[in-house]
Amino acid sequence: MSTFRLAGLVGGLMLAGLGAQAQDQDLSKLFAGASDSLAAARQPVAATFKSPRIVNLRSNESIARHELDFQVMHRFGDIAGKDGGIRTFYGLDFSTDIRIGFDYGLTDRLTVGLARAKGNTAQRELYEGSLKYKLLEQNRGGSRPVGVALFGNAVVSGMTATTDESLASTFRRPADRWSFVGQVIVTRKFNDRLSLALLPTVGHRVLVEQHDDNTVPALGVGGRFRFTQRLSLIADYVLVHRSSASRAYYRTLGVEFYNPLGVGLEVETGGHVFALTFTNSAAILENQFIPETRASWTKGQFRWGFTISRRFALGKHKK
Amino acid sequence: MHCFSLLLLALFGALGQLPAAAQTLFVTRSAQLAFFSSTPLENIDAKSSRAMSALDPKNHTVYFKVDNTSFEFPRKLMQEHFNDNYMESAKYPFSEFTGQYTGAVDTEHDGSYPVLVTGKLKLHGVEKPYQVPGTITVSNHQLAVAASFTIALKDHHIDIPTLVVTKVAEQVQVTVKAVYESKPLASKL
Repeated sequence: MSTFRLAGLVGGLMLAGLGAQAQDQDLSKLFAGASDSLAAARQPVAATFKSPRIVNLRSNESIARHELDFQVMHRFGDIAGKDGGIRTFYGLDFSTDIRIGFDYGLTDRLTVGLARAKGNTAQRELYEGSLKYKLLEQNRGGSRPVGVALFGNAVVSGMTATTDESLASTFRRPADRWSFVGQVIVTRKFNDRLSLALLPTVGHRVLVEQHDDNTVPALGVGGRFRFTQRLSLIADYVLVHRSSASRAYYRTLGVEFYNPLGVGLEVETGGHVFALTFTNSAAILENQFIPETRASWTKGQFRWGFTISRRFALGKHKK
Repeated sequence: MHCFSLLLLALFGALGQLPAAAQTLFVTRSAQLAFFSSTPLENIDAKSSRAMSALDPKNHTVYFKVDNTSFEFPRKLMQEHFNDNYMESAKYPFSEFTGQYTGAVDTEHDGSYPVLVTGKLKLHGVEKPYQVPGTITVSNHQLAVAASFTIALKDHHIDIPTLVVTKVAEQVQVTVKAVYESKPLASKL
């Protein structure tokens, strides 16, 4: 056989191979290329958390543009310990804090909130204004492994100033009524089941009792573990940094401060997110529960509470 | 002559013939997929304009692929529920259809050609055979496909909890509309 003919034969065979390939070619391969995969990988992950709250702490979730989230939060009295038990129906008789709030999506990333809370420190009758901004969104491909949101609030007490000089409610000037919280919310959805959050936080109260700290830094950690499609375990914990001088002073008065720990079950019904929670902190707003959680899980001073979050769509449906 | 030049020759032989073997494929990345779910309590409609599709007129094959998160809903919360609770888009990011159509289509002549597409739809990780009537339209060498069919959610193991059964229909109407790029792609497969 001449070399030329051999080459022709090989060429022909290769051609036959190509032809066979073309016959049952897989059209899906057209879209399996790098640019198509990249486009999908750039998409943000959805639903790191299901509501703007974990238990006590905020989540990274913002409210979509022109949607309104209505939240009712409740914290009851101690379940056990000296104020708990069947006498108070496990805390039902003592409502330590209540908060009713609205969060509205100005844009998909920027949420503005207004709320009224009872309050559970010397300062009561609280009005809260807040802003949350989704700075970065975690994406599916992992090139952006975490999401980052910024949260800030300003809380003002509307109560009548007390005359007791030792309390943090003897407002001498309007500024004394204010407190603020600033927070960076770093989140990661690890998989379909597990999402975690890390929340470096600073709280500032304009007026505090003697030997109390005006500015209290804290580090929050939180998470959500999804058991089933609609039922999740939620938990968060705040590591509070109160100065040792302040702690020592309060100890002489027999007052101890604890780190807030909340755990709960979150049920999602489509439109509603309902959370049944247990926490040692008595107040609902960070401005209060970060510096002033005086109750301890180990003494039975934890309470049940709930958060109901209901979403409404306002404005025109975009078609 | 040694092996190398032999190979070279063979390669040239193959390449020289290639244009004849290459075939035209019609491709788009902006096909429109829409679905509609209707119950007395709530109508839900969603649309994606980022579906990918290819059509091979020689082999009569057609392919669709859509990123589930590209569906846009009138309400963002519906979109979140769709991806998070029903489609489980994190686990099953894409829905795919591969099929073959019967019916004569002359891509050289303008006209509207009714076809019957037989193929498999992979949705929520579950593959099911489908037979869907559709239309291929040829206009000035540009191809378009349109079809409409119904999907039963339970066929693809998508559960609707009893709590929202009044809001999400068990049968969802799907419409497909793809206009392929006017410049067909020479196959590189």
